[in-house]
Amino acid sequence: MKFQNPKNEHLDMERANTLFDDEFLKKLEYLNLISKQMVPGHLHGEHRSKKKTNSGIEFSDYREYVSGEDTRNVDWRTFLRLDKLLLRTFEEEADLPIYIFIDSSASMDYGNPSKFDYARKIAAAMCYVGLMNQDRVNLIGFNSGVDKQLSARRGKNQVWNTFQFLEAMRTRGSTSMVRSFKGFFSSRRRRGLVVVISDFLDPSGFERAFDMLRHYRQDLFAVHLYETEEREPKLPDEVLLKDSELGTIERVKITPSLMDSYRELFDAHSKSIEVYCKKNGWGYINTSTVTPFEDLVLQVFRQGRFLK
Amino acid sequence: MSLFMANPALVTGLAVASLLIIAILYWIKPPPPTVVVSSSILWARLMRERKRSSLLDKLRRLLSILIACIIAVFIATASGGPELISSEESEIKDATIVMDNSGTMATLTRGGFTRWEHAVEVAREILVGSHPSAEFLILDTSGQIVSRVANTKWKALEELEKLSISFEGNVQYPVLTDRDARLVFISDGVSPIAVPTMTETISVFEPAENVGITSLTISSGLSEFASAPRGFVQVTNGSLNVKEVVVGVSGLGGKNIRESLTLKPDSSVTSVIDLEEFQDGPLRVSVTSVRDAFPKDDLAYMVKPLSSKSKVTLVTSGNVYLESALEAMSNVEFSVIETESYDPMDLTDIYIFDRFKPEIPPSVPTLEFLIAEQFSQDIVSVGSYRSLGDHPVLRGVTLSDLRIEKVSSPPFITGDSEILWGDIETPLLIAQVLDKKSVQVGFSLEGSNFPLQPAFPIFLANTIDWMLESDVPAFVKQGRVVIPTDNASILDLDGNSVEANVLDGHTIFHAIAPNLYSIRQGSDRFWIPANLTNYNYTLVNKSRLNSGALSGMVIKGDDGSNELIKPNLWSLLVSISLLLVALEWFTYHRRITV
Repeated sequence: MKFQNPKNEHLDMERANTLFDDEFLKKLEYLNLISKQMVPGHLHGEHRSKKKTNSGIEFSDYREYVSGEDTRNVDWRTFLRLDKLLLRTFEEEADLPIYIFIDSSASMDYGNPSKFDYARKIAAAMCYVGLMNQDRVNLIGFNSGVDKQLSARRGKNQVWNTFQFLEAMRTRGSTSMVRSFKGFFSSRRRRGLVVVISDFLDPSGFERAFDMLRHYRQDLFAVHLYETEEREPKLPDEVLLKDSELGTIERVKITPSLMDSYRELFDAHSKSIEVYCKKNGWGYINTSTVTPFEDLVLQVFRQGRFLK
Repeated sequence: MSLFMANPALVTGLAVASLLIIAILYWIKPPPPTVVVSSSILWARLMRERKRSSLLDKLRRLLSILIACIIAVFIATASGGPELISSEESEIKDATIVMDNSGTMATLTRGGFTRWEHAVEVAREILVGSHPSAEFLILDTSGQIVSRVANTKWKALEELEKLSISFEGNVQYPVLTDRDARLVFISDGVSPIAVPTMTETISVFEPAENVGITSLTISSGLSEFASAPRGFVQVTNGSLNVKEVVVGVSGLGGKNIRESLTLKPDSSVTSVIDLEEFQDGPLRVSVTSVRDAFPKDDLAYMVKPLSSKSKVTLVTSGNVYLESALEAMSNVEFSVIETESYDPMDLTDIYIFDRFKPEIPPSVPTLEFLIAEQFSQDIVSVGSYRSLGDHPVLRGVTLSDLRIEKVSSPPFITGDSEILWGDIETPLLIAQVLDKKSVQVGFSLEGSNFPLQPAFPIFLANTIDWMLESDVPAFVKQGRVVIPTDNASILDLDGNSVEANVLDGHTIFHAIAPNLYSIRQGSDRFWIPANLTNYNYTLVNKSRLNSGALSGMVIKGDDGSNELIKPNLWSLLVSISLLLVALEWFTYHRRITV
């Protein structure tokens, strides 16, 4: 089976494992086509920046000259007509940086298919569409910190590299979004879209991490994954629950009321993330791993945040 | 009020053992399985909240253990037969209760219950009201209870319920074991029972009216020289008042006979019934009177015998006395043959040998007048004869005027022979039953004044009656009846088959009076009446005891009798335990308990 990548190189599928198989790639093609139909005329890779500059192609506006500024940028024709020193400003043309954070903590390696595999497929789909749209895509695997990252890639020919990067990712350690975001954004990063694909089971919570993103003025799209059995666990009357990340053991006597309370708490946890995101105008989507990933990706597209 | 336990040590041991087992079972309960979850953050948060909020969660395990312990203790306690007792009950201790279950206890009282039912009620009250640890020995005057082992009051109540009235007549105070216990005899005092001293007798006697048949016999007609058999019904008034009585006889063929009689208290009247009109077979005799409290003796049955003549052959050289006497018997077909003409194969019912001893004896019964050659020293006077007194051949025969001049040599005497002895050591009369019945007269008719005695024809008639008498009894009393036939089938009056056993060629069954049993063996069929003709039963007021005991006594009957029995605490405990098991099951499945 051959797959033709953007560089027209034939990719031997034997090198790829079953995560990104032929079926998956076909689905990516389909998703790409669908995305174009959904947002016509906006998929050329050039995204207008809100930042105004004194040079450029696309005229934006005039502004008054301030003493000390370079006089070369003064519009002298306007000065002759109006007797005012005005500067012409232009819209800066910039590609959109997309930061895709994939939770690679041990808790993601749960379920069948695992949440991690599901997260990687979603990330691959987003990368594919992003690269096809000439966006600058960053892939970051995180657990207790930034575990692995693939710095900004742009162009269709980077698809295979991103897939390879995703393939090579492994789950380990605990989750700390705060440290991960701090570690990543502490070096100068452009504002962009941060996609976090995670189960958000962070012992220190998600609020501080999200506050940090707000501080860095990043736009967030949160993809909250869970395994069905995480919400509806089938447990005996009395059980020792072992945390896959921390290794701690909690002795629990299961009762119907306790199960009800657990479900309520689980839903409340999801709801709190959603409320936080909506409050900040961010995107949020909550899904279990039984949902076909392409349906989920389309749902992301429909929210209109990923594709601009 | 206190809790009594039959075996407190056992109960305590059981309870402790049960609690230990429960504790060990909870202790060795296997650890819960370990399940790896992606993250226990939410669980930990939930458990922190639950621990703060729910006291029940902390008590779940304790609640479960508590329910299990209560169940164990209750079941252990129930196994000890616990009872709640009041202080007055504790005064009634061990007792031996002797129940008079003789026939007169079937007499009805004014309340409609029998004296027996009253007696059982009295005994039940004693038992139920006694101390739970008391032991009781229930005995009866008819020997229905053989065991002499004392039991708890509940076992004693069971034994009491098994007892029933016996009409077999053989009543006596039971032989008691040496037991330090209160001795109670509950009786109506009618049956002649010797009661030991130190016995507390409780009377259930109440005067009652009763008229009953105390005797019923039937005559074949031979003895009385009558042409047809007659029945003799003796009716006795056991009441304290004069009674108007109707005697009725019914049977096949004849017109039913009804005869009205007036009987004074404690008096008897014998009514003679001419049975000529009735066909051979069973007859029913009844007496009817107002307010009769003892119906068992109001009915009796008899069987009219076959009315064929008996064939008697006299072998003699000539004896005018014998010939005259036999000729006078209407129911006898009489023939005389010479000694030379004797043939043992001749068909006859009885042979009478007059001074003749055949070489080949016949197979039928024989009356032998032996050759008397031995002269006695003096004339024998038989004024003080002994033995053979109650034998049927001498019934109604007076020998006080008998004088004998010659006696015969002593004949061969077997061990079973019944002998009439006179003043000399030579037998005068021998009656024996070997392979056949035979009567030997040891003196000469010519050498005595016997043929001239009025008793002579009676003796002859008695002898013929006895010899022709069937082996099957004409009447039987209640109880064990032995019939000399092998493997006979027996039906009672209602046509029900009666259970019978065969032993040594005899059929044995148990007769219940009054009843008429039909015995069938092959093509032969005959009847045996079982009547309750007994003065001791009919005279129901001949009591040694007073009649005040029954005043105010209330019999609860079948429905009410159980009210006396207190609710068993053990069943209550078991019921609560079952409820707790159900509760545990419910709470376990609701995850309330572990």
